Amino acid sequence: MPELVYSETRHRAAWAERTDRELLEGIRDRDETALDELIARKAGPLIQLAYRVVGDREEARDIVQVALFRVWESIDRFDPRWSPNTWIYRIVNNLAIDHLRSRRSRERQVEPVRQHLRQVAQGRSQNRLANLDGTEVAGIFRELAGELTDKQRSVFILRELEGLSSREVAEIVDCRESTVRNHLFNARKVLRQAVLERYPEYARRYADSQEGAR
Amino acid sequence: MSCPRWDRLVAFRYEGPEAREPEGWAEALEHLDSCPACREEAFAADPALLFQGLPAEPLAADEIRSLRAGVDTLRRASEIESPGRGVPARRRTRAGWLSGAMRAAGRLAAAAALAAALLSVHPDGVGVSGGTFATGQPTRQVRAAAWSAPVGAVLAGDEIESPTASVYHFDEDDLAITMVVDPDFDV
Repeated sequence: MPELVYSETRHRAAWAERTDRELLEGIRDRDETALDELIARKAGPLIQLAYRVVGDREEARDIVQVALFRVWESIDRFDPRWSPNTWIYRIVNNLAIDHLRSRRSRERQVEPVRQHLRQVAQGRSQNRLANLDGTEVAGIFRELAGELTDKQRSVFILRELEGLSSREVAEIVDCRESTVRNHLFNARKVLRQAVLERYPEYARRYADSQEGAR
Repeated sequence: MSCPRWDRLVAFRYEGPEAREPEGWAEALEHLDSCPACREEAFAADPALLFQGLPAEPLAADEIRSLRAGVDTLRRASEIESPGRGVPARRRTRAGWLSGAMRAAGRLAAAAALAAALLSVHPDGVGVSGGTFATGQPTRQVRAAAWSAPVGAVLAGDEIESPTASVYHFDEDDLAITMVVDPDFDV
């Protein structure tokens, strides 16, 4: 009987067992299966990150596509001392911010979100933040994130939405941890104020409590 | 855990950049996801908390496939623009897979013809009749020999890009055959 000496299925399955770092080593050796596995593993979180930065799913996918191509092309620039995740997130974040700078479209996103929420509010007995579903919250975030600077936006998304540590965020956005904390602090304040101003019907209890405190 | 006092718990978020998370903050956030009463209280205490742990939108079924295809297109474009740059040792492009499979199929046919010729005069008594093998006595036992050459050496010539492809090999003193088998392959 012929002996099985190579199986693409097994080759792929073997890569699926490897760590992110080993995948990058495979990519350095120009193994396309390693790249395929990296795409399968990271596509979800990377598209999510890019989507949260630019607010458009199609554009987010394009950004991640370019980012993964850069991983393949620039693999020699990867320093093994870095965390693979941090390096890849950094590429995506930088591309997303660059993209955002060249396409300032938050204005056209504002009205649809407001209109949608007004329609939704009519069908509810009370306007409460706790009643909003994930899609509605994401819509509000896309709109209000336009109030943040690029750094504040990146830091807030990576730290509060993606749940990365301050240290990881600092490496991704290329600044000190203390700067990350500053950006995060300011981002929270900006967003809280933006909710109060643009969605007062949803923040009535907060506004009332602040009034009472004075 | 029991429902915390959110108005006190969230205070640190606005005390300054260096304010530390209070003890039990992570647990409180986990609890927040599953407690409607706490969501009400937490968002009343800090509307910006609404965005914490915003759920991810699920990946559509074809998104990974289209992403792969997109990356592949960029890589090919880059190789055309800068030949030799970033070209892998084992190129396994789709076009390459087809040509590789065709070469392999051609080799297989040639090897089969050669085997038929050899076997027809073999002293074991195996002959060829009407283009098909007619086995005499005793039937020649084809043994799978140990793989002696690096797999990569074979595959370098036969470019493969198919998740279902397998490569089989058998090796005799007078005959060596490599087979690329893929149920998805349609000549």
